[in-house]
Amino acid sequence: MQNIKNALNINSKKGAIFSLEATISILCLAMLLTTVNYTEKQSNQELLITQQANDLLRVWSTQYENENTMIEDTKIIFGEKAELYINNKKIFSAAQEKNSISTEGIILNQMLQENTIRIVVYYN
Amino acid sequence: MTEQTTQNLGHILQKGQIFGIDSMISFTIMLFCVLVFATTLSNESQNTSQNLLDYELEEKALLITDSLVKNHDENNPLLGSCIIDTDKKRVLTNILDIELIRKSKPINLNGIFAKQITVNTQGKIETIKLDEKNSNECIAVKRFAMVNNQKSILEMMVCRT
Repeated sequence: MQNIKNALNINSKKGAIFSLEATISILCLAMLLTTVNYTEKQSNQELLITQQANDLLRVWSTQYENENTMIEDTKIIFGEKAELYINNKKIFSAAQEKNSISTEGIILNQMLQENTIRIVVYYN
Repeated sequence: MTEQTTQNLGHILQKGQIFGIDSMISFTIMLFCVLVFATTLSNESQNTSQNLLDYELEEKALLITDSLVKNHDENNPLLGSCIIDTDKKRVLTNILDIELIRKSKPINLNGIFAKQITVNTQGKIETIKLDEKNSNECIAVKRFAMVNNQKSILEMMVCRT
């Protein structure tokens, strides 16, 4: 019985900070907090975007295209979510999203001149 | 029960109840918290396992499709249909041969299989069916490549049994 009395009167007799009820409440709160969903859904979206941007650069390197065709190809793969730069000059704009991935390559044209092509893809 | 104990519990016993109202409310709230905890834990566990399955399907789909456009595999062209430059002894990535793609054989990776490949060459669509199994869990991966020297969109559909 003495133990029960001590348990119910912890703060005054033993110098403990929390009462039994407070301790139980804190434990319940901690238990609930651990159940909060912190995990985000894993995705391979970044990898796919990188692969697709690389596809475009690979195809253009085998068959150098004019700007309009490059824009059309980019639209086919990424829709309106990609920007296209040739030698740092933006030739196609897109609505910007939260995240972006940039892929860059140097491609020779028919005159064997270097052209730096950058594809910036936006995604959520 | 000692005399001291009887004295201490006397006021409770007279009311005919062991716990006070506040204790009962606390206990009920505690039980409710435990219920919420158990339910949330169960949901979280289900979500995590489903996410892992989705991730695995997506990963395998990317793996198979990337292999198709980056490799050359005589045994199963599904895992590589690129043309080989015999002079340079080099695989020409993203340059594919439609005849090789047509020879693709079914593949099964732990219950994940390639269902079909669709080749869209400037509006001309060809579908190569690989597996007739039905599935509700499918994913399609789109890649850009040269097929028979023409720019094409390849779409690989990968499903789970």
